[in-house]
Amino acid sequence: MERSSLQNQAAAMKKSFFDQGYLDEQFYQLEELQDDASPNFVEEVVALFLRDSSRLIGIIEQAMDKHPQDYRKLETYMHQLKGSSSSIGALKVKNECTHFRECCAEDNLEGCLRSFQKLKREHAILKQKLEAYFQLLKQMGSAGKATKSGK
Amino acid sequence: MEISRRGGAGPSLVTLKLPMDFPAGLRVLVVDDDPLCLKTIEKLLWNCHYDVTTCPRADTALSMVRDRKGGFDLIMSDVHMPDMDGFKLLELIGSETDLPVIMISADDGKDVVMKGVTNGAVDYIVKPVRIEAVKIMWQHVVRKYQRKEKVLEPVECAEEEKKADENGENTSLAEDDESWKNGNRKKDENDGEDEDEQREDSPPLKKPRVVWSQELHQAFVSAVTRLGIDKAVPKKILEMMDVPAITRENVASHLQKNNILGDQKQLSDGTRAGYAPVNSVSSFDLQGPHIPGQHMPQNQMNLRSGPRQLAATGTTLSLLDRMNRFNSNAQNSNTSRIVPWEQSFNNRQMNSILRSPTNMESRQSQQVLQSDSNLGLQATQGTSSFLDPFPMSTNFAFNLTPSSACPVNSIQQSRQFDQFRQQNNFTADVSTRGQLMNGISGELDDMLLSNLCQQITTPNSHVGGTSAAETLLPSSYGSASQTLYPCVGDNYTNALAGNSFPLATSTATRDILPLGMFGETVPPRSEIELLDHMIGSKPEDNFAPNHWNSNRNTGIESNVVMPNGTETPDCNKFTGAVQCSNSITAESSAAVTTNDVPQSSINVFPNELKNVVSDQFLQQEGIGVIDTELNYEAFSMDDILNYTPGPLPM
Repeated sequence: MERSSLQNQAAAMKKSFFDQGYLDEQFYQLEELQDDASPNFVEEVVALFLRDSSRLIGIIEQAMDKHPQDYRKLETYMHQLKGSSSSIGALKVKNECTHFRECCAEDNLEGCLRSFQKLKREHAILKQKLEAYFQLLKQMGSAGKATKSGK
Repeated sequence: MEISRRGGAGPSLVTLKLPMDFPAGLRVLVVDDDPLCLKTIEKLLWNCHYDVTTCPRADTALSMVRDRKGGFDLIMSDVHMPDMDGFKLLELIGSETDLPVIMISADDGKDVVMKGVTNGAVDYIVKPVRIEAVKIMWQHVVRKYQRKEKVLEPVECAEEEKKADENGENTSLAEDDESWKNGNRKKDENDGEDEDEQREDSPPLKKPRVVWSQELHQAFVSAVTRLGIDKAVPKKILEMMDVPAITRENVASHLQKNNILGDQKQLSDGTRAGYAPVNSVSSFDLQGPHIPGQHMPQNQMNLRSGPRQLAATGTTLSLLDRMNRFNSNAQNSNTSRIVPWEQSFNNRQMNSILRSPTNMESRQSQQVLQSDSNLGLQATQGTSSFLDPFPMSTNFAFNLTPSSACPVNSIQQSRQFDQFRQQNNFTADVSTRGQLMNGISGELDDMLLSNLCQQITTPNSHVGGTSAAETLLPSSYGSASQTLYPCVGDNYTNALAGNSFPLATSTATRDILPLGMFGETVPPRSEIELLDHMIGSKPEDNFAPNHWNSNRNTGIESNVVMPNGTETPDCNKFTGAVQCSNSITAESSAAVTTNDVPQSSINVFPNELKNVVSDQFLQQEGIGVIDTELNYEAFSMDDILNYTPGPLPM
């Protein structure tokens, strides 16, 4: 059945996220929160995260170009990003935020730059994975409906 | 809202059914500039059946807290916010309210956490917020009430005395009586006669009673704080408070109350010093209409014998009783009235009953006073078995008349109570009551008062818990179930926790509302709301997401606005299954009920108050849980707690 195969695929995908450290326990918590009243809660939250974090990364990037560097401000941005990423369980992104903040605390521009690059990469990868995942879920939903309709 | 009426013919003994899924309905305000976090936390709280309001800005949140005094039970605030530092918000909220604030942040640095602690946050949660933390967040609310209760203890005695002295009149009792009869009714404080239009048949109220709801008290505290201790004169306070329903006299007496204890002179006034109305006695009868009737006459007969000091008729003087100041005059005037149970609360009646204390009684009361909080509990237990609205109050017609040693009364009263108790299946400990009565009727000295107060306070807390009892469904919380409505009375927690009273966990504790300073059991608005929420929960509600959702879906959909990232309006309100959460807020907080019963004489009938509260919840929107029918002034334990005399300028 297509649906079950899709389900397996989605399950495997999700598992890989956890195994590879892209997502942590918090993601499960989000899934727990999803219910009949909010059937797309996880997807909404993830979409919100991807949107806000992309925006924030853009702001940080601009800030990074400034000289002299305002580390306190960068720290604030990073703190925000860290909060969001932890709220959806984006583990790697969150860890990189922590690292970035540490570099800011040391006024380590080089460290900040490197960290930021890594952060952008991780963010991009996560975005890609999550989008693929939810796409798959949508497909599952459609497949399920198709099946129900007696096709 | 599941509020059933019990007690048969008597005044509506509203039985609060504590939902098994407490803390459902706890009103939480979440402040966080990150829309993602706000959405996630909101969903978490929602799933825990809390009543969530979100706010992305600190200044907006502060306005909300200020505008809706008593409208929230708990605040959760992010630490790092662009418009205002979370600690600053914490400080402001802490200075203006007594709301517990929880800090949330992705930052787990020691200094940040330390700052949260030192600035008064009750907890610090590191993001991501997990459901485990949210699920037990209600503990902070309960804890707050517990603390408040303790703070209020020492003040109560003095205040009561003052109140008794101030008001000590039949009129006040009469008012109480009437208010009880009429159920939830706020009384205007101005003119006794006009007090409550619903009560045409009541005797003219001489002194409207103001119910110092939590909100009102907060306004009072703010005004006093702003004026400064030296300049905090009633007139100015009144002006600053700007609450139409209260008068300078109300403020003055409230100020006096909160001015603490020290003033034992009040006791010197034998007539009034006491405890309001016999209500306590009548409350004893809460169980049903018949009981009061039976009770009263007996009481009257027996109690008439001596000075009116002891209102407590043999039952433990519960907190309520203590709170009640018997107004001998009032009591006297009411003696002839035999009314349904609510009337039994009538101070007048009580007074008359009390007024005839015997020497023995006073001695007994003396002993009782000196006994410890168990008394209160006992009383509670006794009453609780009734499901009467005034679980606590019924037991005590506590008339602390300083001047007289109305010893005789106590004994008689004790006997009466015992009888009632038996009739009503009280489980209270008679002997204890007797002692209490003696103590009370005896010379009221500071010690007595303090004993009494303590006892009263304890029972209150206990009562609070027990009140829930009647409808207290065996909840998964076990003994904690009685603390279901912390707002109603932190007492619950206390009661459950440490009282030696075998609190009638299951049935007895019916509506034990926290007793206000004066025994009024109307919880402050917030509590009322909480009660409301609780009441609102259907018995079959269970703490299950599905249920929650279904509740949410029914009827609330229109209210549900899932914050959607940036689209989120400033403050979204999820009302989930709790339907009437806010209704009560506005009004109850502003509830200024005026009975002619002096505040001090506010009956300490938790049940009544509870009923009032429940009624209010059910019927009105948040009128300060004043069950006029029960003639309860809307004093609830929370009110008392809210008084927190400590910080007030003396």
